[in-house]
Amino acid sequence: MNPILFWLFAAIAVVSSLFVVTKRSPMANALALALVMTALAGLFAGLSAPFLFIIQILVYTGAVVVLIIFVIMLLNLRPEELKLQALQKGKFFASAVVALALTGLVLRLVSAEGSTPPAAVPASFGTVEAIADELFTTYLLPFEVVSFILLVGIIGAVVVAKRGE
Amino acid sequence: MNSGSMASGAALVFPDLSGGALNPLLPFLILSVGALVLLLLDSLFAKRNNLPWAMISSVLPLLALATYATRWPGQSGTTVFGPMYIEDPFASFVGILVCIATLFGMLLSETYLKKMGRYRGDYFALLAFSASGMVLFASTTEFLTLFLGLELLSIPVYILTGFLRRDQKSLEAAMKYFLLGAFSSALFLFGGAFIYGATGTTDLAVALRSAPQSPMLQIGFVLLLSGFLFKAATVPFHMWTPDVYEGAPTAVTAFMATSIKAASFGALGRLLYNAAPVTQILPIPDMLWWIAVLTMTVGNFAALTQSNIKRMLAYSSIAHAGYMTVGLVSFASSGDTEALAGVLYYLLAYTLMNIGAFGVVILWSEKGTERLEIGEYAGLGWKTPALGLAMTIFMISLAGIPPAAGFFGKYYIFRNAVEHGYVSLVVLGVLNSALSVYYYLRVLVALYMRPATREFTMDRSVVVGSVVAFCGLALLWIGIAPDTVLPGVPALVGWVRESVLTLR
Amino acid sequence: MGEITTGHYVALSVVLFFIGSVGVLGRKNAITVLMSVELMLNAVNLALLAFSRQWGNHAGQMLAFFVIAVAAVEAAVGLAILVAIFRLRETTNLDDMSTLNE
Repeated sequence: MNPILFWLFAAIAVVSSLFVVTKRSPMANALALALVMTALAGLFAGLSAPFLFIIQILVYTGAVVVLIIFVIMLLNLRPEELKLQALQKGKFFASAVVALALTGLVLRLVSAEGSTPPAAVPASFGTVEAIADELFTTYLLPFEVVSFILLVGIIGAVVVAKRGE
Repeated sequence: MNSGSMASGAALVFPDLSGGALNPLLPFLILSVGALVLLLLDSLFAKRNNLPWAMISSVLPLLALATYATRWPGQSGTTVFGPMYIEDPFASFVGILVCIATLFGMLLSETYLKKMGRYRGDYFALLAFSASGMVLFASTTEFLTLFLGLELLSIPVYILTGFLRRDQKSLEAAMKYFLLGAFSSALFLFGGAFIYGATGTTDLAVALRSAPQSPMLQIGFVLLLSGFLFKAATVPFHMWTPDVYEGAPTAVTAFMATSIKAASFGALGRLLYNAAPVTQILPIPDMLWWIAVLTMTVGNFAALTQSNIKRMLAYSSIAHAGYMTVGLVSFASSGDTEALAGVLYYLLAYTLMNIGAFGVVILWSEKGTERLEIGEYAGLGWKTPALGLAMTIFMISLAGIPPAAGFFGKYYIFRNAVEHGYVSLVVLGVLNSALSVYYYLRVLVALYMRPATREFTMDRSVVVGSVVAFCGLALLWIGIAPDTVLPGVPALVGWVRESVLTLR
Repeated sequence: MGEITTGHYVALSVVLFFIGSVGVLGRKNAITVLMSVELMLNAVNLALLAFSRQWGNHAGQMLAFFVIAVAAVEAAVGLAILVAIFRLRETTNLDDMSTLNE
């Protein structure tokens, strides 16, 4: 991937993910999350994953974030509630310090791995066709299982949140 | 020519599903497809919600148990879909535990949900889906399938926890459980991603053996382990347990306290078996040693002060996870499958005594309001002698007093630990057991030595009563004579031993 | 700016993952916590795709595909529970959910 593009997307992703966890307004968090996901989609495209690039935009940015935004608007949070939701400074900084230390540790250990150049892949790597071929052969069982999980999600949303009775 | 095959280097063929190729999957299929049938029945009869759901749905775990029975004994173990689904005696044993917990969970639910005024068919379908996820979770070494099994077992339980949606506590417990559960799945996934990154394969049995020296794989393994420990509710991932067990509908608590424990300790045993090369490099047995000690101690000390029976049983379940972790310590350090057999035996006893105890709690609750303070059980031992006797058996079994099965389970685990040189760990375990006697006996003191404080009319439910009776009798039977043989059933201890021998 | 290697992607993924975990552990608003979990899952996906490219097999991409599906289910279930709680008592603040901590 072009280094300039990589650093551009990486910068967008990091800055907006900081917005996701620090901004007070849930709506600002959600919009920042959409930005993170879009930036990551750009990186996916650079990793020979055209199918996942599309799915990322369609499902994550297009469905999950929109769902979250709908719920925020449905709940119609008022300003006085946002005041309650101010960051809990002590706990937040404590976990930030721990996370920073862990990030450093993991990065050091992972970078010790030594980087070998990526394997050569055909031009069709990660295309819809290539993914579909594996999905319906090697990954048949997980594919069926995930359909059960999706069904459980639908039933669950109805059972818990449907009005009435 | 497809490109995927070129990239992965293997020809892609549609799996052969003809003949009996799917037979090893039957328990999973019965539970999951059966759940679909339940949903269909629910929508067909939506107007009249008075179908006998417990009876209808309990057919599923019974059928699954029947398929397990036909496999026993002399089953060698097969795989379907590559490493994605393993059917061996170990998976069968865990599956049987899950099916027993599911069967009893379903039977307890009808009475309970009617009391709470939310009796619906989809509840039972969700129980069956969760059980199918557990079966999958304990039957695979492939990371993707393991992850999906974990989600299929967890998501229905998040929903069931919040099933009483007019109840503040139920919904808040669901939210808490959901958020922490999703967080732990993320850790689990990141761990799996690192293991894949270090080795290029998602089959953990292959990956953990191929590059045990790689730091990336080791980080991945620790992250993966933390996901398991969250589900098993050990320190430091136990914080959610008391709130969730208390807030969830009691029948759901009975189900999840037992079946999730069985599934997660089963899957953990299989993971540790395959991770032997990594556990020799990383100090995993030492880590588990500390986890076992802290889990027992934190659970028991917190349980001492609880006045609510569900919270008390929640902390007690944390302590029991600690005792089972003792078995994992000796297994992880020595690779001796006998140590794992102890854990399996303990899981069976644990399942029966917890289901039984929660069954009694359900019978003693009244319409609309649950009676959950231990103080409110004053005198009930004399008013309902049979239930009082059953509760006595469950409490002494939980405390690990002979002759109930809880004693033999602890003895089995501790003896294995001593044999592998963990004497100090066993001493701490025995001290913890002694401590736990106090709060279990407190329930009995309330039952028999305090004057009754309230009018009590028994709500007779034959189904719940027989579940409680079955659990009580089974605990005594397997506790007094763990080696006796029922016609057709191998001696219990021999059976447990046999099931770990061909673990993979 | 040198060549971009798998290590760069993994490093970015680790950073995003831990930013997300700070959000989960440090924030009180249930919606924000849910978004932070989604952020963590996205970080995992980035690592998976980088490894998938590195090894030249599709296993990582398949995993990422299933993670996206499961993440969508988790979002739906989490938001449903949130809506039910809000209907009952009009708060999304985890500290107000104190019924369980008497």
